[in-house]
Amino acid sequence: MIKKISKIFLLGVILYFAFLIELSNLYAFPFLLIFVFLINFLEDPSSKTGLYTAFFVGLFWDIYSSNYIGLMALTLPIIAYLLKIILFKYVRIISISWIPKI
Amino acid sequence: MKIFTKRKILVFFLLLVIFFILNFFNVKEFFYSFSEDIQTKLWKVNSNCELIENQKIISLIAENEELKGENTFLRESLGLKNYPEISLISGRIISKDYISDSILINTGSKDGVKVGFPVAINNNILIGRVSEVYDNYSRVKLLSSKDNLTDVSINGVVALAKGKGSELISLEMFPHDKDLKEGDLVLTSSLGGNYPAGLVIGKVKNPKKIDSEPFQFSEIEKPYNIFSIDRLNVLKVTTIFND
Repeated sequence: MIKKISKIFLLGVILYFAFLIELSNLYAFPFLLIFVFLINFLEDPSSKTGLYTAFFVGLFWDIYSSNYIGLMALTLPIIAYLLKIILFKYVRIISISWIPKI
Repeated sequence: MKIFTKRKILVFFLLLVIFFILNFFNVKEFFYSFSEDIQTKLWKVNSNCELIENQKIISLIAENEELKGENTFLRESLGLKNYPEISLISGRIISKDYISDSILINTGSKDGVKVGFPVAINNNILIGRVSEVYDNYSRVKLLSSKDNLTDVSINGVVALAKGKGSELISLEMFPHDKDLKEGDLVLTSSLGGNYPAGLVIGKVKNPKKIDSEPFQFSEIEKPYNIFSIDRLNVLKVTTIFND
């Protein structure tokens, strides 16, 4: 349990700093959004890493914009979850095994 | 894999309640103050000498036009005291909003910033308006933000500048019978009561005149790149002059 929480926390910290880079004038395109969809596409459908990634990206998006907190923090994971259901039930894509499972 | 279980629904509603409550606390400002130092360092000014020179030239041209207009007006109406008093609150850009056209700056209500204050660079190149104010930070909605409307004046003719998103601004509702040329300076008009007159918005680019349309339209080329700006001024406008 503690190991799982520490993995989630570490994921959150890494995504936070990646988000800060994306908010600066160094970024060229919203790479984190693309990353969220890619990771949900390519990981094992039973893994939750993609859901946590979507949650953190959505949460930071809400905080660093004029959105209400929770708007994207809930919307992105819902979209990621629906994607996982489709991938699990109807479509089989080769999943990348080296994406860490949480 | 069950789509909806009781546990998943409960977690969703719990998160919904937590986020609803969080919106009543100053969570955003906490994160802004936490990351301010990092974001300020990351926000590097791209040194573009040609762009800075263009900004100076456009600034001076606009100032000259405004002074000419002011001179004519004062000659015609001696004794009237209608000009707005403007003081400046200087600030720095911390970050640009994720996807939408707004920026976060490091001045807030403690510095005297209020919602609606214009924000400019070089003192008279308008970039946007304050849309949200926190204690030490403010969010500035750029002129190019989607569906943002600004009253403008080109050679004395009033029209509208409309934000298209992705840092694009278009000129709309310019009368069909008036002359609109490439390179004409687009200045603010105080007709709408939102901005003082004479602030630079940009230059006319690709003017289009269609005989069947009642108005001409064009793009507006901004004299700056938002990513190359570091410092700006919030115009503390105490009164707005109406033409």
